[in-house]
Amino acid sequence: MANPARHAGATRRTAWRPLAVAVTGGALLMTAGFGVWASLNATAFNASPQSVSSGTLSLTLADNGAGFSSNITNMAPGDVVDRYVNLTNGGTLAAKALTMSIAATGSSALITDGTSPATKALTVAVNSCSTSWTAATGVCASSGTVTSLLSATTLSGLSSAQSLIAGSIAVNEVEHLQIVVTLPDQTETTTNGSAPGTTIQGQSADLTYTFNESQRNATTTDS
Amino acid sequence: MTRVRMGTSAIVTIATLVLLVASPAWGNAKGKATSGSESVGSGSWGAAGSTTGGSPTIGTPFTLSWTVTILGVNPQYFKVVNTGTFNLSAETYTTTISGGPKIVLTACVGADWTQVLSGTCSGTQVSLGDSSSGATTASVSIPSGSYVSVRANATGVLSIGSYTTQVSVAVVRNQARAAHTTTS
Repeated sequence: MANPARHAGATRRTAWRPLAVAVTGGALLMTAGFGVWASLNATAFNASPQSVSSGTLSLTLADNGAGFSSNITNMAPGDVVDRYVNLTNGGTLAAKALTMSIAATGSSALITDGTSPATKALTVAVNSCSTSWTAATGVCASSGTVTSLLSATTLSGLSSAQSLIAGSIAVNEVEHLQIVVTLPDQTETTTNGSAPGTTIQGQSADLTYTFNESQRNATTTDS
Repeated sequence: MTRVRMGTSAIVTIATLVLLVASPAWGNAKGKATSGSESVGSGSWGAAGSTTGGSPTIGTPFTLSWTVTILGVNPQYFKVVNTGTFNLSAETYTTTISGGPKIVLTACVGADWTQVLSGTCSGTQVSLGDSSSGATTASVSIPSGSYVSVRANATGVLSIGSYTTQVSVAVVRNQARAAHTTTS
């Protein structure tokens, strides 16, 4: 006589056997399949790392003689004061587009000229010497070439950057600059020690010169 | 340990951000600037009358008061002070008086007037004009910070009474030092 309980247990055991067989078979197939799908890979690399470095751009300012380190005092109309500075492109990159601007504070009489062309306020011009300036004499040494980089411009006109050299500036190239500060000739009458209401006399202004250069044009190198 | 590592990482990140924000130029080499500063000042020119022991009367003519009596009137002495920062080579003098005698101005260049009687000058006497001649330009050199001694003398018909004289001193640009070029 059959035992119903044993029969039910046998039925449950036989129910998952096909599933087990399917899983096992699938695993075997997958293992065999991977063996068929495997491919060969090869890798190459440089044994020594390639080194890549960026260049530097450096512009330095140095006085030649009094330069900007010495104040200009007691200017009379018509006076011209020449000061000398050297600009060095000292980085590893060539540069281009050298500009100059002047931030001026102080007396508006010295900074802003109400008339055009400029006749009253201070003007600044820039010349360069291909060799070097002798600051004490204002001579461009060794018969160097003098080039005008900027004609006389009022301080108000120099609040924005003005081009000095549009082209390229080589690495370690030094620009020998002569800065020409002029108080234009003009007349005033001082009566009993009192200057006119709008006067150029006894005024002062602080000038901050800023020189700027850009890196050379970016290049594409094939080699 | 995890908290410590995260704290360090956060600090490094913040510091990097601060540096990048503070100096964007560090991120590339596209432009470089350098700067220098200097101060520029202008000088001044002018002169004004002054009592021999006082300060110049800036902005107003120098005034002399006269009292003419039957005994006449004594000269008066004053000085013209260079009030500017430039040496002067000349000045323009205008002397006025309402009625009364003619007032004659004479500078003693190189010395002071000795105020005795009509005065004596051990230097060089230079006329600065008089009250009847209008503006007179006199080539009297007055270095910056210095002065010239002046005698005012009443001449002509001396009518008894009190009078006031005003002496105005004008200096134009070309009466101060010439322009020059300085290289240094």
